[in-house]
Amino acid sequence: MDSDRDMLHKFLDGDLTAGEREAFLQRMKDDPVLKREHDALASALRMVITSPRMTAPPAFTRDVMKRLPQKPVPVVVRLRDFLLRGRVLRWNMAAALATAAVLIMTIGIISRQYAVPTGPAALHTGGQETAVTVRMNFYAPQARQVSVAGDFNKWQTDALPMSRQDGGVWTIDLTLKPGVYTYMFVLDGKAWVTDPDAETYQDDGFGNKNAVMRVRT
Amino acid sequence: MNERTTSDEYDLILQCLNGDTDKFSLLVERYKTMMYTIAYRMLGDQDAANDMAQECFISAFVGLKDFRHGSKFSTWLYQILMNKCRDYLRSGKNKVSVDDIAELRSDPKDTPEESASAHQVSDAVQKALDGLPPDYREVIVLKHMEELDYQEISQILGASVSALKVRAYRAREQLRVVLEKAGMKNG
Repeated sequence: MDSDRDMLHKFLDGDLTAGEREAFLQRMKDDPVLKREHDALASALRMVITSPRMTAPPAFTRDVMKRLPQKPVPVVVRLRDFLLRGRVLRWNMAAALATAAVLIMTIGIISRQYAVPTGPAALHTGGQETAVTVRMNFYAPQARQVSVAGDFNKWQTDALPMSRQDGGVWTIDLTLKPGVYTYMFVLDGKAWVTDPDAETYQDDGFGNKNAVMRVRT
Repeated sequence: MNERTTSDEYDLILQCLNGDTDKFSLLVERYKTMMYTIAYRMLGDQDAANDMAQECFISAFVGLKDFRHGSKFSTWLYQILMNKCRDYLRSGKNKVSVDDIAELRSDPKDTPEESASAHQVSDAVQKALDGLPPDYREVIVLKHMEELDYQEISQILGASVSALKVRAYRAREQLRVVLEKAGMKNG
């Protein structure tokens, strides 16, 4: 009976071969108990399968769109809005004099600092991070095509094809700003493969692992 | 499982990533019925289903930059939603109502003879689902309501195909028993 039950569930899952299916149908004809089991399960499943889809509330899409996180407003835009926004200032003479005194002192301190040349150090600009070229290698002798996809190219599978070198190694040079990037290799346009030589890995939250690369200056 | 995201869907995703967030509403419209229905079947509560389905889309939007071209967008949404539903069920905010099951079993109106308006059947199925352990419920919903294959379900739930088949086997048996006791029969 256990074996019959196994077969019954395989039958319901469509996992039987044509021959097994035919034999099982014959077995059900000969065994009314098995047939009843089948009918009961099939009946329960029919109820499940024919259950109607629910209708989402009418405001569903609007509510989702309202709840989406807003993009942060750039500092420049916030500063511009702050400076250009109309406002009414209330003031009195004492506060105005105090403000003027603070301003004069501040300007004096700043101008004294900048009046003295600082020599060669003054030539150092700093702050602006320059892009760095990074070479990626991946060994895949069987692949006909390999590309790299990651958050640096919005995970497009065909935007960064790698070049095949001797010995089945694929390479690409990427120019990236310093930072941390996640990426995967894409073989023949369909298979996602994690870089076995990655510095570290990061769970993407959905059961897969992305390779992580840290680009330094 | 290997079915890819359609190119127009991928275009919409790219447009969202490039700042045209209004395009995301088209993706929500496309999948809202599916996600809301699954959430309802998993949680048995309309308000919770609405919340979880909305949360699912919001998480998808936030994680859009990590979505891989070549994956199937609906599979990705299923994954997010199932994780949300699991978290919700673990939090204990829902109540698995033993009373509801008892009520289903003892309702004198629910006789086989009267069986059963679509509404009654749907309610009975929902109550039976509510009585299943969540991991059985997941398989029934994805396999028999959404009609996904085991490979895709495996990807969504992170369980092996063979484990899922065993789960489906037990879930179906349990579902049958509850529905039979409730006097529900179809066909």
